[in-house]
Amino acid sequence: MKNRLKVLRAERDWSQTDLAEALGVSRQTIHALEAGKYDPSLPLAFKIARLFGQSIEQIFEDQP
Amino acid sequence: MTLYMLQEAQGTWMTQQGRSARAGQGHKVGLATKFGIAIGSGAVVAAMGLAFGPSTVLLEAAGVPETMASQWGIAFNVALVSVFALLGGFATKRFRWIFSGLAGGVFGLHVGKAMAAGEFGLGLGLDAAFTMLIGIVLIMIGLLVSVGYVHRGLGEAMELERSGPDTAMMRPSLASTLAEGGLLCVLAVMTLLEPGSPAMLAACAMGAGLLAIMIWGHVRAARAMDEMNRQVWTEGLAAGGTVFILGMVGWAIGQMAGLLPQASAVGMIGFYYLAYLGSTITLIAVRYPSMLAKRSEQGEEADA
Repeated sequence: MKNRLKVLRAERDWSQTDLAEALGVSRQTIHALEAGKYDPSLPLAFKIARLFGQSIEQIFEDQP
Repeated sequence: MTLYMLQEAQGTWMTQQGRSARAGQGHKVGLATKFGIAIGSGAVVAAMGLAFGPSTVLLEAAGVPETMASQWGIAFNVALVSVFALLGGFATKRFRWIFSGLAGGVFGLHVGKAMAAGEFGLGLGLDAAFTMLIGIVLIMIGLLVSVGYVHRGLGEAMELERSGPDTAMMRPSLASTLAEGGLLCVLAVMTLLEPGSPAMLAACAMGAGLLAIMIWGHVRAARAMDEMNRQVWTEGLAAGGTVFILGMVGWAIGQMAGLLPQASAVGMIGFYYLAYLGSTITLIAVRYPSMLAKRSEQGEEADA
């Protein structure tokens, strides 16, 4: 699953640590999400969407 | 099974993965420092083994009768393990893993030394060379476990000081580790007890209680993690637990088929270590992808 987390984070000039603290997860998790190595749970996906003020579909893109 | 084992085998892997899982912090210690810690802690444990391992020999040299010297040697080492375990329990975060590692190391060295010397195996009718081989393997595993825990303790002292430990995760993890050390001590004591005796039954009950604490600690620790680390942790535990169960089943079948010596406690300890080894290898295999991701992350940040 692709996502725009890295771009959205860069637009706000946030570090991975900043984003991790805002979401209540580890920086390791942020890296794994940005690298596409880990797909978030629905609650975390909604939390990310709320934080960036966008819908889940605008941030995450399914790759069939 | 916590983990941690040849830990990086146990050491490096646990230090990196365990620390990150607990505190959500990146790994900032250089490779040279890590090697220095590993070599240094290994030297400390090896020195301890040389200092305390031959306690029985020293007692005999002091004129104590052989049988009594052996018993006091065992008591001395068990006491030493207990002291280190207690120190680990009361120590601050930077020393708890170090003391736990020393406790595990002394235990591994003691059992391994006894096996290598044929104190257990020969009495069970095992071949001397085979007994010594098992003893040497146990000594090596004991050293690796010790180095892993000590390494982890030093690593956490260096890494977690900045942000403080995740106590919600550390406390149950510590309880689990201490329970594991206690379980090994109980297994060691069981080698001295008569099968079916009230003391043996009491030891079994105590072992079961410690095992329950281990499980509780793992569960509580996992609950304190964020979702990704919890998933990895759970997968690792499931894989490790499966290996452990398979090992126990194999041991039981071997006993029933008469393929293994009728030495319940000694056999259990041996299989415990073997299951530990298998669990660690499995855990490393499960976590290897995340280790690669972490290295990629470090490189990425270094570039930035």
